[in-house]
Amino acid sequence: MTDAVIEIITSLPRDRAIEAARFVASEIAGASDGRSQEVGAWAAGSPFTHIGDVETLSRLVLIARALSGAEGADSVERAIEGSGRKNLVLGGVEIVALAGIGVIALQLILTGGKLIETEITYSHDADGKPIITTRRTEKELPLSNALAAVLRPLFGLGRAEEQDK
Amino acid sequence: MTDVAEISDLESILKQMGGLRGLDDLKFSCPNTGIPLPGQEVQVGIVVPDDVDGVIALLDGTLNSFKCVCGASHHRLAPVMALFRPTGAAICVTAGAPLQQMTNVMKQLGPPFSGATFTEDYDGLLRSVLGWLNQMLAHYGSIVLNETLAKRPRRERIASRSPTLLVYLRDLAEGRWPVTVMLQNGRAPPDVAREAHAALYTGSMVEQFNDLIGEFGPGGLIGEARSRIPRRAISENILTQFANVARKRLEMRQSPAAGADVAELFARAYGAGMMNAVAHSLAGRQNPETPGWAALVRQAWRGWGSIDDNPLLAPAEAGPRLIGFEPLWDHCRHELAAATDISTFDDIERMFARLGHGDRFRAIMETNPIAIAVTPSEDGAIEFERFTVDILSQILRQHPLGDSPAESGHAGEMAGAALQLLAGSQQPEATLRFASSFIKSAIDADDPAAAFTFGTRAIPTLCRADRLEDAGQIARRLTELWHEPSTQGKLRHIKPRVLVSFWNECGSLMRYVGQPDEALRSYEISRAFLALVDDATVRDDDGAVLDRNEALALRDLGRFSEALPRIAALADMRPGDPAAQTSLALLHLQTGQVEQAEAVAEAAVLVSDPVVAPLECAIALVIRASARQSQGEHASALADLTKAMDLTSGRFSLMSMRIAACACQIKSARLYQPGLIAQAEKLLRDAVETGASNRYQLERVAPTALYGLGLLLLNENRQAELQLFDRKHLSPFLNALGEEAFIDWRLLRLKGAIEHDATRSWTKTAWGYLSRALSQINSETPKGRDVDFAAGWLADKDALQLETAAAAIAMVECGAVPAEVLLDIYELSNGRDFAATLEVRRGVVRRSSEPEAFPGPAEEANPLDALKAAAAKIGRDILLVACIDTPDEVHIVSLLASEGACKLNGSWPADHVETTGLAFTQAMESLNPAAPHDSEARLKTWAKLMDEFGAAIEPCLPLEALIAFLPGRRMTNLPLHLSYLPARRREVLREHPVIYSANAAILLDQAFPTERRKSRSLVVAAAKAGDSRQFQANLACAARRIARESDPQGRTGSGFARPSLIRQAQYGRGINRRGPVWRISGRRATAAAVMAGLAETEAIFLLCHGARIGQRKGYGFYLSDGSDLPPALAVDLEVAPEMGRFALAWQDFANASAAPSLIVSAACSSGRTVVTAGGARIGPEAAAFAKGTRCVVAPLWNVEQDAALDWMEAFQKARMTPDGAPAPIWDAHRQACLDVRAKYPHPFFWAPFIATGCLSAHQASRGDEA
Repeated sequence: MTDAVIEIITSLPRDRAIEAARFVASEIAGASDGRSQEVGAWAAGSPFTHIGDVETLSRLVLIARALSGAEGADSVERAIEGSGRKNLVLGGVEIVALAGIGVIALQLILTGGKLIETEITYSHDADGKPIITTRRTEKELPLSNALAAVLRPLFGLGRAEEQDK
Repeated sequence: MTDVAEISDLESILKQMGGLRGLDDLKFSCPNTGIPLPGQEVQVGIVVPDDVDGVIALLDGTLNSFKCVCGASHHRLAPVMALFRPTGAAICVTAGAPLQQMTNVMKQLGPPFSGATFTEDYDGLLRSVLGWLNQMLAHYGSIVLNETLAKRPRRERIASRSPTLLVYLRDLAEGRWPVTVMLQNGRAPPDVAREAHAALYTGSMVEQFNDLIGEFGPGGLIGEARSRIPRRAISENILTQFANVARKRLEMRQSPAAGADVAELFARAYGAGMMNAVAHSLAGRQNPETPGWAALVRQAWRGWGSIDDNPLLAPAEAGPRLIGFEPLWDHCRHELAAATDISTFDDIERMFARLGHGDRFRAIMETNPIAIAVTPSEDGAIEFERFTVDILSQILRQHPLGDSPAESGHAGEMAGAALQLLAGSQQPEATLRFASSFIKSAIDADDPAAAFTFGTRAIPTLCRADRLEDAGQIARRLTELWHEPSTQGKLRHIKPRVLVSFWNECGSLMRYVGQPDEALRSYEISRAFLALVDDATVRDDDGAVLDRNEALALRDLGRFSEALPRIAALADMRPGDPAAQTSLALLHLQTGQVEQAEAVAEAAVLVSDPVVAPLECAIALVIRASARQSQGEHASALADLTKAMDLTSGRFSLMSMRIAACACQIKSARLYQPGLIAQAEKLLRDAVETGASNRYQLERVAPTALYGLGLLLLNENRQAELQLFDRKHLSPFLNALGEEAFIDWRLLRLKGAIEHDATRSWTKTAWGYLSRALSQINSETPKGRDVDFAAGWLADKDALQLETAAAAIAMVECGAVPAEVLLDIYELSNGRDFAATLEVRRGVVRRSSEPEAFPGPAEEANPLDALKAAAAKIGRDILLVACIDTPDEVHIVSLLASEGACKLNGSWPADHVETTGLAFTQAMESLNPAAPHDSEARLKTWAKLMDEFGAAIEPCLPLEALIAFLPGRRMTNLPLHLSYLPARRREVLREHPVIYSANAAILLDQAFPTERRKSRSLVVAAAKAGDSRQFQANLACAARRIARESDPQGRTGSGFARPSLIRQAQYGRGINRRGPVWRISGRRATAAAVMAGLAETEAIFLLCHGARIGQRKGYGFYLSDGSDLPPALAVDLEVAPEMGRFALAWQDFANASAAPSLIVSAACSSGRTVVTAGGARIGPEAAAFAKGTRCVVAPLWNVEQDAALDWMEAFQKARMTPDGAPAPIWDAHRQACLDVRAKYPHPFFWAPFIATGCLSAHQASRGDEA
């Protein structure tokens, strides 16, 4: 099953790989949208120069997520299924978006980070003054030990590996 | 001399030697994007020293490097022959692979070359290969040659195949070529290499200059040199050499040896001076020899000035780059002072004009001309009365009026020159009397030609002297003369160019005085005479001026969508013209596109010359500063203003004042640039203390200073000083003008802000000032001179709009003003440019159809009445819901047509709305169509806001009412139709039809009789490369079904265009005009075909992909280019303009003569509108509505393909009722959403489309019935 998914991921056309990775990355790191611009600055100046890197990042995000367990594999399958269905021609903006959120997502996957959901509500107090409430929900993001052992050193995440040991 | 053509022979020789591959093999693509790089542009040969670019590229190692649209540079490993022209020697300097190529060459040459080992380090090509060659040659030199040639078979073989190669070998041996190859890295001693390179290179360049001046003459040198020699080619050595030669030649001329030929010395000095000036100009450096050079130029003018197009003189456009104004002025001022008649002045003026310094010269003459040109009487007084009479009689004596067209022209020109003298004399009455006397003389002599010629000079002169009223009087008098029957009969005797210039000047005057509509009419007359001008060059030049002026008038009228393509085209056509770039930057600034404004202003700064034209450069800097300020980049904005202040300080007082005021707008500016703010405060204070108070617009120093100083005190919270300033200066200034006076809105805003500051709340007094300011900005949107606008206009406007809305809300809440005023505030703050668009469209229609047939909203000026009338017309109640933006909040105001009263329904903090809206957009952009519910968590906050929004409007919402959303700024692009009605437990759209509009002016705009188009539809279907076959088949089916639905009679097949005819559409020549429905699909669906069909159809359906197609163009459609489908990845058009062949932007619709009443698009996000500072809107409405569109139906987010096709089909099915009459668009829209919802329950699929437009779209969509 996993091998089949990986084979599909590696054979996806470039634009579909980027789109699918964006779905997965947004699911994982959607709450970090505010930080993604800063993180994706490396590709913002000339996105098409980095398209090869972004493509690699996309496949990496998909593979890492697919190897993180059954839930991740399902998520990747759904993302692949949904890719190429929008009436959009991918452009520089989408490439830069993935360059940011993709890196954040990959970090989260490899560090066994947390999925964060944020909900903001707005209300008034008794005096009519506005109150804005932000509620954050965190959920553990699983990562198989085998994958962690392989990927973490590649991304300079040795400390996390040591902690696991 | 070896011909360039010999390159091909040399190439074939090397091919025989096994080193070259055919160019066909050299095609390659960018590894990043896969886009093919140019195949035919590979340079295979360069000629030294002629091909300077090639030589430099060779030396740089950049020869045959190509930049892909992605920004990466790729080197094509193509062989290049360097042909040394004087000897015919050639060398292969790069190769298919440098290592391989050179190995092959060397192998052919035999030992010791064949056994040599090349270094692997060939980064930059020349570095290693040429370095190695140099080493070889240094060691072997002539031995190689002798050994090579000593062996007879080899010698004969080489001689028979390539005599040139022998020459080359000799050159190698004699050490001539090695100097060119010795320059790279450490293989040769660096000092030797550098010295040799410098000697060869400088010599080559000097030789190049000599060749050019010999071939094209001194006058042609600058043009040829600029086209051939890039700036980086001019080294310090070259400049020094030119300067030395010029100085020596000048010395020889000033102290000629006995018997020297003076004419010859002058010619040589002039030639050397010209080369020196051109070289310095190319390098962008100050010419050190300017005083002597100025004397040479003046002497050259005396000798050759009277000859038109003299090849010895520099062309006018290049004049300022070759000789600065100051040295020339210094040289001529004494001559002017000593002049006793006007002919000297005239001659010098012509010289300055010819050399491109006409404006500077006139400016100086206008400030103090009399002291220069007129000798005072013994007691020092100047009798202006007598002076004007004398001048007039002298002109009329020299050039009698009515004699001949030539004499008339001369008389008018001379009188115009005399008026220039008088214009700056502080004697306005004498000036005007002189003008009246001359015009009267011309009329008496029945000589309109002289009068109009005079007008062409007098009007701009008086405008420049800031005497617009006098200019207006002259223009009025001459316009009256124009309309006289006797004049009309004589028009054919007047040179057409005089009339072109006259009406152009009248137009510019009208623009300056804030009547751009009148200006357009003047330009129209001017253009009519332009066609009669014989000289094609003059016609083109004048046409370009008219293009620019018309575009500026359109801009001033607020017709941005029409102005933008023209101004952008001019800027593209003239990249080196600062004025063209400045105009475009201003337009971007005006429409709030600040990033583009900054980029274009940057270009304007780069091409403007701070030495030759400091004011122009300062304006470009101020515009860039404004753009940066609007983006919050305060430090860089202030740096720009500091530079601008340095350029203008002490020379251009009003501009300095504007810069000071602009700097004071920036909060905390003193922290960034304390020096600038201190200087600004001093300037402003001095002007406030001493300035005249009878002027009330910011075109004058005093009010500008008041405004700047007030802002500074306000921003720095210096309350005591602020109150004192208000009491002592601002209030007396405003009071002196009175209630009815026209006061610049910025001063009114300042006064309102000071009132608010004093009480820390919005009072009725503050509201009074702000509302007055806002109504004034409505009628006075920037006009005339560009600099007025640049000085922070947009930031002020934006702030004023938001502040006034806040004040109005406060006033409504305390009952001081009725809630209806909020609708007015909305209109003034949102999409004001559309109002201008509608006015224009009506104007056009009025002229082309019967006036009484036009209903027009002017008959129903009150929006309440208009809304009631609209409700009656469509037969259902209408609830208008407007979102009012203040600095801190978003308020909802509703107005129910049947009740006729406005209500405030609720509010949210602005931050909350912005954050929620952004989160919604991001969630929708990254939503997976295969798992839409995965994004639920990210949409929770949005859903909560929509719950609150629905709850706020539900109490006012009667059953079956149509809801018209005016979303304002922060709510634009959000699907308010998904707001949830708690009592009915459904989204709004499931219960009510909905329409969106930018503002009430658009919403309530009435249908008008368009040209009688038949009820035709155009269906466009285009997939992209890489789309699945299944989708392509679905797309084709959907297009066919929509076309079938569009034809009430059900005619299909034969009614559609045949492919052979449709093929024409690829080239924009038109489309098949048979049948009621036209359909173009696949590769035939080009942008040109769509544009061709716009004017002839009533409805258009765009079934294609959407994309962001560059900052300047925003969202748009991706179509075929006629031979290929659009690529799977979109490229920014600013990076790759050639990809524009696949793109059609909304703004392109402005170039069509008319647009369909209804536009329905399935392209992703094509319904999004960009709201910019000041409330301007860029997107579907802006361009299409200007051309007659009544409604645009398009998605707000990236739609799922199949659902979108289903939606389009359902919409068209719902729109076409069985009796053939279209149903109302909002009903069809709602029905389509409900139909799709049945198959796809998630709103991502069924709710992306919104209908934006007018309530009268209902009528317009009926085609012939309208």
